[in-house]
Amino acid sequence: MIRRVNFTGRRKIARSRLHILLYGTQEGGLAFDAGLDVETLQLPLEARIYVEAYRRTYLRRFACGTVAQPRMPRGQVLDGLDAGAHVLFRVKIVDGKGRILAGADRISPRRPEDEDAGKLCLLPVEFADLGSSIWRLDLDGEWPSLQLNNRIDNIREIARADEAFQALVYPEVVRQILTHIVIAEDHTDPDTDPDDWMSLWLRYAIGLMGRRALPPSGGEDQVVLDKGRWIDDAVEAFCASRRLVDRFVQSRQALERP
Amino acid sequence: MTNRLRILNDRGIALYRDYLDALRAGSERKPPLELLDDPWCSARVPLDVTLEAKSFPSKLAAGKYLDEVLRLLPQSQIERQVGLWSWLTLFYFDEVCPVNRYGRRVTGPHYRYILDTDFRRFHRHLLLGPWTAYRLHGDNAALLLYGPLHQTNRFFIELTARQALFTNRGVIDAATHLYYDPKTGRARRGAGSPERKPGTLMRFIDVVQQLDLTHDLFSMKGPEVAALLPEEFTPWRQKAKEQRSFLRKLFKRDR
Repeated sequence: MIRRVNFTGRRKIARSRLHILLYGTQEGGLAFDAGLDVETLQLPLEARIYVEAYRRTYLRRFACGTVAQPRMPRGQVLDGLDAGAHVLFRVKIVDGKGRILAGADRISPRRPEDEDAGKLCLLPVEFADLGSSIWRLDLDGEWPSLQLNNRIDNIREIARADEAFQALVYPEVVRQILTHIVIAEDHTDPDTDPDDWMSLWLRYAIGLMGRRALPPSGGEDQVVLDKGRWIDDAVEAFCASRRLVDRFVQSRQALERP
Repeated sequence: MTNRLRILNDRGIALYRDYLDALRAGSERKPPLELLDDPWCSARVPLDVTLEAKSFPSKLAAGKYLDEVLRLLPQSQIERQVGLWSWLTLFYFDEVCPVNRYGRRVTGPHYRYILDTDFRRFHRHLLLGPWTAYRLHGDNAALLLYGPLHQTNRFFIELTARQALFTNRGVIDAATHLYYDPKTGRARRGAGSPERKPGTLMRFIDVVQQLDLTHDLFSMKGPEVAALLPEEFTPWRQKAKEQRSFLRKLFKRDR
């Protein structure tokens, strides 16, 4: 379980107060709109608001006025990024001495396609030169992402619609992510930080299993074995919810038909 | 050998990798510079970029030079371009893998020459690392980029391994303020100890990671961030202060 001490009393800005929409521009780049509800946070009116967009070593920072007079970005272009890049955001509200009074980090923006469905993307997809590998899960960044080899023609379409690819790759992706969260990080309580990506993934897995069965916490041998079983159950529930076996068999039969 | 920037293709990268393997096995073959303009092994970049075959006094100088010549190419398109960065290390091979006093080239891991897009090794590429550090911090990257191109210092390794610190202007400015000695052009003695001795680099990282949660370090100057650090950093703050007053006096005398 992850515990953090909050010495300075900084406030967490809940995701429900934030609205960041990221979309492609006509020039093939990226732009975003940001909205923030600061009225009920009870912060000093002169505190300054900053929004930062970041991805690996890419960082752009935008001064967005004060609590009294917020000026949130609309149509703000993120120069130097392709339309497919997965960017995260953080928001800071800062006093005159540089102390953070309230903040939110690792905010995965919504895309127009999520906007319609009211969904949050748990696993962004990126395209990179992966040499001889078809896919790789990147767990080193601030948010996990599935990398697909851009040397393969139509890889975007294959990942989206190919039943065999989905049946063989996605369960393993889910397994690796849950193993990282539950075993490597020992993050087992989805309520520790409800907006954190690990908590969101845990809630997703629990939702798939249809019961509130939290994985055990700790690093003892028996506990790790139990965690492994919990992950097996979650992956099984993922496969069942998507009927992967049926869809895989049907796609094979369709291929074999003369 | 051409001096117009190109990109090694798969075949070129494979042959370059073979050469690095041979070097590690003790071969004394010359670098395969013919790959640089062989149309079977490399391709042109869309823009005409000309490079100067030169030697760099430090990684900072290399980062600055690459920032100038690559400025016209979109960052997002070149940052993870394996063939481009591999071509560049081959072009500057005498710099990234110089002949030592015994007449041999001692190679390091492949990722130092052929870009590895895995984040743990990404910035360890001997030219992409300095380019990125200079692009982010300009001359304030002096602490990360002192020393010859073929050597990577501990400040660079530890700070680039932590993205949130590496991209934070205030943090890098503070580390440079505390630990960089402009008189010698290197880090102060003892500052980069791999152990967590009071006030040294590893403790700096521990403390700054905590401060980053409570303070907007990005908007602060190096001395302002340094002032937030606890007592154990006082000797380094003192050294930085003495250095500044020395430079101020020198500057006044010269005027």
